[in-house]
Amino acid sequence: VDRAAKLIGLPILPAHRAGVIQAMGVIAAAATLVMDFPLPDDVEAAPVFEP
Amino acid sequence: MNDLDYVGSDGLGLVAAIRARQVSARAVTEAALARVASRGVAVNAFTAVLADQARADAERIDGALAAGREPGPLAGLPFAAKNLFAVAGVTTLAGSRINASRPPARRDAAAVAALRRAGAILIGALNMDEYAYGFTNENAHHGAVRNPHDPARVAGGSSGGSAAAVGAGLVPLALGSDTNGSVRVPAALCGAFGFKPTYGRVSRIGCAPLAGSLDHVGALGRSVRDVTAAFDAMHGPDPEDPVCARRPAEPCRPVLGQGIDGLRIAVLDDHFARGGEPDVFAAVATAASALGVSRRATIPEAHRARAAAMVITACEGSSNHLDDLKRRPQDFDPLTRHRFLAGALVPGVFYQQAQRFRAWYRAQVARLFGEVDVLLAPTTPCPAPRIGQDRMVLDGVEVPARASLGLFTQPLSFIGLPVLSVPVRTGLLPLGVQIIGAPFREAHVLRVGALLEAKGVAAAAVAP
Repeated sequence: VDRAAKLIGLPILPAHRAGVIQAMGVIAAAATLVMDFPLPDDVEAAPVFEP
Repeated sequence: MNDLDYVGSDGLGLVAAIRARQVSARAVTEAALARVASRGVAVNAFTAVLADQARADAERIDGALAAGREPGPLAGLPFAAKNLFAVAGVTTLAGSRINASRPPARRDAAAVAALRRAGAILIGALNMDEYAYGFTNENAHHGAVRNPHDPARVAGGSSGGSAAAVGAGLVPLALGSDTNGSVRVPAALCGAFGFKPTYGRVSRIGCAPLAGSLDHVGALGRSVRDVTAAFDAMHGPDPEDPVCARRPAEPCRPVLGQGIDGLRIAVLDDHFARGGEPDVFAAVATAASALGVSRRATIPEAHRARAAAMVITACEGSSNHLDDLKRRPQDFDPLTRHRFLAGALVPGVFYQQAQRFRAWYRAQVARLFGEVDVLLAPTTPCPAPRIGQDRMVLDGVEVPARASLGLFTQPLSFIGLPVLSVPVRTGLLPLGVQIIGAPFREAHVLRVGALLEAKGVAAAAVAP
C-alpha cells in the first residue's frame, strides 16, 4: 500500500493507513477470485471503444 | 385531498384524479409537501425541498388542464431525486461534504428533465451514501436515512433516501441509481418496487458517477405501473451519453397487463439459493408458487462476478475522486474513505481481468437466456440491518453486514440485466424478490411484476 500510494502521489495519512490496508485486503481477495479464473485467450474486455 | 388519500394511492392513481379534475395538481403537491414536513424528518430522506418550484410546476399543470391542453402522462405526479442527479439551481451533493461548495447545477439531469417534461412535479433531492459507494445510507455528513418500518434500522443504499421517501409515503416515485444494487437493495428493505433497466437504457447525463461502466439510472415507486411509467418517460437514445443505447424506446405500459403466457420462468439456484436467511428464500418460493414456476436455473460463477464487480467499482470510483483523495481525504465519509483510497492503488491487471471476465460471464448468461426468459432470485440476503451494525451471521457464517447486502444484486448489474425488485412480505420487515430479464427485455420483467402485484403477492409497504 505504501509503495503503490507513493507511485501515484497519494498521501495516506497515519490515521487512515490501517483502514486502507484492510480495504486493500478485501479488494485483493476479490481480485484473487477473478485472477484465478482461467479465461480463454480470445476473450476481450467488455468495453468497446468506438472511434 | 387528505393525507390518507395521498398515501393510499399510487402515483398514476393521483395522475388520474388530477386529469379527471377531481383534485388539483396544486393540492396533490401541497399534500406531498405536508407529508415531507410531517414525516420526512424522522426518516431523514430529503436534503433539499423545492417547494416554490413544485408549486409553480403544479399550477402550470392545473393551467394546462383548465385550458384543455395535454399536461403529460405523469401530470402532477410528485417525485424526488437522489441527490446525485443534477437539479437546476441546486448543488449536486452526491452524498458528500466535498461537493457542497460547488456551484448549483445549471440544468436538470436528463432523467429529471424527462420526468418533468412528462408532467411530474419535482419535490426535492434525496439523501444517499457518499458518492453512491455503500448499501446502507449511513451518511456521516447528512445523517443516516432511517427505515420507515423500523427507525432503528437502515433504509439500505445507496438510494436510501429514495426508498425511504417511497416507503414513508412522502412521494409515490423517486429516482435512484444502481451500480451494484443501489436501487434494488433499498427498495427491498423499505418495501418499495425498485426497477433498474438494462445498462444504457436511460441516459446518465447530469448524474454524478460512481463507476461509469456499471452505473444505471432507475426508479423506485409504490406500484409496478408507476416505475413502468417513469421508465417509459425516461428511456431512449441520448447522443450526449456515450453508453446510452441507440435502440428506439420500447414503451412498456401498454404490455403490462399481458400476463406471463409464453414466458419461460425459472428460479435461480446455486449462489442465489444460499448465504441468506430462510425468509428471503421463502419470499422467492412464494413468488414462484404464485407464478406456477418450479423450474430451476444456474448462472455459473456468480460469486466471481460479484468479486469482479467489486474490483471494477473500486478502480473506477477511486479514479473519479483521485484529486480529492489526494488533497482532502479527511473530508470523505469514514464509511467510503478507506475503500476509495485503496481502490486508487489497485493494479491495472486486476481491472483488465475483471473486465475480460465480465465479457466471458455475459456470454454464459446470454446462453442461459436462450432457454429461459425470466429468472427469480432474492434481492438481499436478509431484512434491514440495524443502523451501525458492522457484522451479521448469514447461513452460520459471520460476514460484514454492509457489503453483504449486495450478495445477490451485484452478479446481475455486473452485466447490465434489467431487474425489478418487488416487495414481498414474509415477516415483520419488508423483503424483495428480483425479477431478472435478458438485456433490453424490460417488458418481460415488468409483466411478471405486474402479475405478482395483481395477485397480491407483491405489494408496496407504506408506513402509516
